[in-house]
Amino acid sequence: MNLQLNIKSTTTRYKGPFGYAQDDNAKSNWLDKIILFGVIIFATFLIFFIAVKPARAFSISPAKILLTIDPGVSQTVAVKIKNDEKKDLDFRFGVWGMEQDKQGNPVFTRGEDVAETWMYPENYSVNIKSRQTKDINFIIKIPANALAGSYYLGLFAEPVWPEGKQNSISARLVSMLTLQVSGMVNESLVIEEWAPQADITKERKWKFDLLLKNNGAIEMNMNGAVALRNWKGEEIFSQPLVLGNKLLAGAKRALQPEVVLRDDIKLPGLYSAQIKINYGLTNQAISSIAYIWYFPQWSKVILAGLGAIFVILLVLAVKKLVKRG
Amino acid sequence: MRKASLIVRVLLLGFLMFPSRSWGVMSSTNYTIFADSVDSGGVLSTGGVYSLQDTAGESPAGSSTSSSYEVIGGYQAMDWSVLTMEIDTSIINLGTIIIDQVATSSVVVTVTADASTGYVLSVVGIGGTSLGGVSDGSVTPGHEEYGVAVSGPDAAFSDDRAITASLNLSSSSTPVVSSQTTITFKATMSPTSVAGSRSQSVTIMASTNI
Repeated sequence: MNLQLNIKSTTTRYKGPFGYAQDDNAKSNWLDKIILFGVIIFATFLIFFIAVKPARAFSISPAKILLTIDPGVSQTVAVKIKNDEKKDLDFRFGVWGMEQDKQGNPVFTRGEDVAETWMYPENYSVNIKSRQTKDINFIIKIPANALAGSYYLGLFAEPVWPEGKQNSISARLVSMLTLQVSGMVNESLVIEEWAPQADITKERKWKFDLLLKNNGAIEMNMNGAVALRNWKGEEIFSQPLVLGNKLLAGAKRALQPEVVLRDDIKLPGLYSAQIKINYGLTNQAISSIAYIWYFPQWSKVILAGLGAIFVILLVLAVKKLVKRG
Repeated sequence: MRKASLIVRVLLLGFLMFPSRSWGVMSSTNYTIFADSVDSGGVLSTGGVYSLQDTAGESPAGSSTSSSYEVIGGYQAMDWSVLTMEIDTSIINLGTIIIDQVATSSVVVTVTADASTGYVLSVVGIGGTSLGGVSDGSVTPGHEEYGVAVSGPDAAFSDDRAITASLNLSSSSTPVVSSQTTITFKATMSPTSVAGSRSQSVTIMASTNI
């Protein structure tokens, strides 16, 4: 692909509407003014046209849908699509699966979730007039043997731009559907990792690696806290943890929580950091403990000094023994 | 003594025959229903309460716990917030790429999301052919590299990234009004790059955040 823009600069002397210089200067000036006025009007129109060039805009609503539905049942969901373009546009529709990444963001996939086959748009392509809103129906048919639990889908709408095959960018909007198939659902959260990061005790801000997994069949909210204890098991302080948004069924969440040490933690020794998380509608609790050997800088200096004294004494003792021998 | 023993036995038998329903039953918990749907056709709920019937398999706190409850069918909750996307062009043209020069072309995507959880803008589909994807964080002259940079208040990264499916371009965890993300496509070639035309189609998608 090549884009070239040739700008030619030309200078011409205005010679009047008939191409020759006129003797009547007053008439020439009058014509000049008319042409100048025309040019200004044209330029103003051009600027206005560029400024109000219609944006390629469209909207979707609702942005989120939650459905609870029995196995073997069919249902229809309507999604509103608005064409904000100046032109009528064809829109196409579809259903993709949705997962959640370790940061909590939605990731849309195609052909990986069985629930994608349960749902389809009533019409795969619909023309929507300029500035108009249309209801698009999506039909759900839940198999009778569908397992109870949550399934996550994205109902998308995509305009077909007038440029056709020249398009390099396509745009899509998604309505997020949480489909809960009725029945007994299990809520289960696993702490797969809760460990201090390397070189944790270099600073007074201890960093941990936390990896959670929703092993249940349904999404869950979580809240947690970490408690720091000394070697005797006495709690020194506790602080809440930010665990992010709702954790979808089957999803993992990776976090790097920080525990800022209070000033009263000065002594070296073994400390423990216990994380406690409450989650879900059943308000379950899980916990895990990480142990940290903490040696502040001053204790390292003292230890080094004691080590040096020990070595010196050892050398002296060996020398003494050699002399005696 | 015998009488007392008999009474205890009768009471025990009574407990076994009529177990209290309160044993093991947990209180019900509500889901937040954003708004009820008033669509034509179909009877929809006016309230949304999930019945938390019973729990089973509870275990003491540890690194893994689990419990169950029953989801009752027939509820529909809608978040009628609107998600709007504007795109200033659908054509990206990098022109003829010259060695030692970075060719760039941009598209501005404007998102308005009034959902409380904000939005996510990501790449969901790629087609066609392209140059080799950037891997060192910067599309630099003299190397065959192709990628995108994003800028704007919600930009997801500050370096140059290869264009991959599910690449997060920008996001916000709060509602936004006309939040602009400029996506700049960049390409360079090396002396050993194979001459020819490349054409790629990219699908970007906006959704609310979870």
